[in-house]
Amino acid sequence: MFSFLRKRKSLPRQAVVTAPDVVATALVATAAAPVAGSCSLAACASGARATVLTMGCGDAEACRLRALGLCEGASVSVVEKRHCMLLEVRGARLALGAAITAGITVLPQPR
Amino acid sequence: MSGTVERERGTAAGTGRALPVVGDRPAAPDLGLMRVALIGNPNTGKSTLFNALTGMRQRVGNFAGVTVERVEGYYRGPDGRRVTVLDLPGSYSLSAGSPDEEIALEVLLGFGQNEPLPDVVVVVADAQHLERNLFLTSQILELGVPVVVALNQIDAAENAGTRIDVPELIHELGVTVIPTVAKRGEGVDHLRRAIAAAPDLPRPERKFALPPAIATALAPLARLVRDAGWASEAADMEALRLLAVPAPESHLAAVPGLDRALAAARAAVTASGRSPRSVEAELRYEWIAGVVDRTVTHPPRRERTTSDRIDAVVLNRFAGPVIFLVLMALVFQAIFTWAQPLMDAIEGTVSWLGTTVGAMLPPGDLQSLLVDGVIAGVGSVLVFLPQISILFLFIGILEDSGYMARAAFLMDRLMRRVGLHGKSFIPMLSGYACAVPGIMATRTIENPKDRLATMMVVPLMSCSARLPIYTLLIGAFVPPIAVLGGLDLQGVTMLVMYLLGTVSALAVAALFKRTLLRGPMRPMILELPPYRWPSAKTLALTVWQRAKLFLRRAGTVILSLSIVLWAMATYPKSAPTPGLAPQAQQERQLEHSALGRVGKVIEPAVRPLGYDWKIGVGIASSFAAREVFVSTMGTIYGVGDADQTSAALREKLRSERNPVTGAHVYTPLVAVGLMVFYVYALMCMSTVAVTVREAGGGRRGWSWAALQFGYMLALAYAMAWLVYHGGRALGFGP
Repeated sequence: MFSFLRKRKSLPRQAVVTAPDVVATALVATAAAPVAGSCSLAACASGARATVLTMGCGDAEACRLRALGLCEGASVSVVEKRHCMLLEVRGARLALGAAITAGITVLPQPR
Repeated sequence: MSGTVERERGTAAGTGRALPVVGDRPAAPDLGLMRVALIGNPNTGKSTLFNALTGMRQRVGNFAGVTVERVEGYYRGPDGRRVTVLDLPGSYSLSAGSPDEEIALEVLLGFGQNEPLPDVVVVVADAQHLERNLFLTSQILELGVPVVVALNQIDAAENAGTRIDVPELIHELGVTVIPTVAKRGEGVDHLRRAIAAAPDLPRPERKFALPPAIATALAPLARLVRDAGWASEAADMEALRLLAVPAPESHLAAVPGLDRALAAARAAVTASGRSPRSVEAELRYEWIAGVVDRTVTHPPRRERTTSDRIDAVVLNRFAGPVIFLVLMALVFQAIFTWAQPLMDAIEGTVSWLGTTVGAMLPPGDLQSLLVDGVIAGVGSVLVFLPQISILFLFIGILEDSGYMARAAFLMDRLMRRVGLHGKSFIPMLSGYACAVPGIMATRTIENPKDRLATMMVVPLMSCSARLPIYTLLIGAFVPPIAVLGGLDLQGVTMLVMYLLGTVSALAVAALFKRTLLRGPMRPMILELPPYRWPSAKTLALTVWQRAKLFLRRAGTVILSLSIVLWAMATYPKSAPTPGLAPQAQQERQLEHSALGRVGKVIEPAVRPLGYDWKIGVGIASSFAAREVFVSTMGTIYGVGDADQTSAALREKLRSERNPVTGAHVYTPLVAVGLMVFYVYALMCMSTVAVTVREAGGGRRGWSWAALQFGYMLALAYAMAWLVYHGGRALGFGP
């Protein structure tokens, strides 16, 4: 179902910046096809901001992340990137493993 | 009581089974008693608020059938009624999937075992992170029970420049909202009054309308749940919630045809162009965004907070691990050294009590039972109390300050290599001081399999009780030759013993995680809460609760086992030989006793390790507590009250010869083998008792404790054999 996300792993590691007005339609569009400019959260650099498009991790993890405020449409800031990622979501700080961030598709926001 | 929630009665049409009907749950009896459940996200100050409400009037236990901790307290309400408060486990939502959160959901729906439906639910929301906290709040509002929201840590939010329009928030949520600062007790009286009034207010309900297509898709599922006994509002909440959960929880098992109805609802939601997995979060956060927009004023630009500044240092790639190691060294040192004067004081008191009781009673079995069995047995438990208290004080400080999450984050990479979580590190480190608090500290690990795997290996970390054995044998058989820098061979040998235990613990954990406790490797999802000053009252209560729990539960098991061991060392009695010195008489009695006979019986088993029957007795007697080995050796060799530094005992060991062959019994190789045996062997009743309880109690707890004891004994035997025979093959001993 999310096979297109796996292909996205090969995207350049630098976050791609696109116009924010795409975000509104992107949430609907991602279910069917990848959105131009989207990438995996793991590909975002420290300091990047992005909007979550899809949660391609396991159902249990996605359920937990949504409860923590990280859901489709949420805005995230990458605080630091190392073996895992430090993020800021809805004012709270989260540490997510690489297996999780690789499965989350985001649309980077302009700086 | 009028506050008891009246629920619709469901029918279990066509099933013929007794379904759990919420209205039939044991509701709170109308005796002027009110039941309150406290729920909230982790790190919202929920436990501090619970302490502020109830003070010392608390009881700690487990929820029926699970190891999830249950803390209940009570207070006198403003109208004189007794109000019991149940502190539910911290939950991010009603469907986030951890055992703790499942328990919270069951209690709030009235399905908790022996848990009556609460009259009022108090949602503790962190004012600093209101947006995220309103997710759980919105689910609770749909349960159909009276709700009060405690807007906690309002001072921290205001200090950060955030303003919350409380009257507007009350209007938006439709329930009473009380701003509180739990650690200073501010707003607690208002909260008590709001709780008393809540049952008489209109019930809260869903605050947003579902899109028509979603409402239509969910209707059959909600009807099915309602027919099975859920209240109307709760059924609607459950139907929406179920769309996202990986699998329906156990309390829904009795709903007939649930899987089919859920699949149909998901298909209908998908057909409407939405994702069933994400629709609940999208709808709730959409509503929440509007509420936050209308009630919260954020500062014009986000300033760098104190937490950000601390994290810049504490999580720094280079400084972070160093700070972590320094902190852990401090904890370790405190457990080792700060506890010592208190432990000495307890030992002194127990010894004084034994002498006093002994002097009051005539010599005989009753005196021996009370002094050597009961008082010495209970004393052996009490002596751990300072270490446990200090460890839990530190754990409390680390948890409440927000550092524990950072520690787990820093250690996650290392621990993940053996299949464990970063949080496993602290209990393992605590094991160096004592396995008992180490095993109790595994409660901070959410994943049950990770928790069990950690529990199983904590006793492999060389605890302080092994130190006397290492000290005795190293002092007697390892020469103090300079080896490296300031270290001599004795110090290196000690270090090797500690390293051997640590490496083995990691290896065995990896083995457990790949076999018996195999499970999907849970990727790291960790919230790093803002740093806060811990509340002294909360810390004191936490330490008090842990101490009480340890004394009450482990104490009973220890006491019984101490009496059994005493009986084995006392009976059958040997006839007193006239003119024989008391020490020699004692040695003869030990040889003649059941314990001595056990030593003789196990001699063939320990002989391949190079041991004689006396070492066998030492091992047998130290099954209860390994440090007993030293005093038993003292008794056997007639040295009296020997300790690990006794020169006489060391000399006796060095000169002991086999009566048949004339060869030395203790060679350096036998001594090293014996130390290796004690590195691995789990010889501590307290650890067994705590493992039984922490692994779930009952048969399940005993099974894990038996496995732990068994594998460690097998490992001890195999490794000691390997050292002895391997050493001989390499020419290190006769």
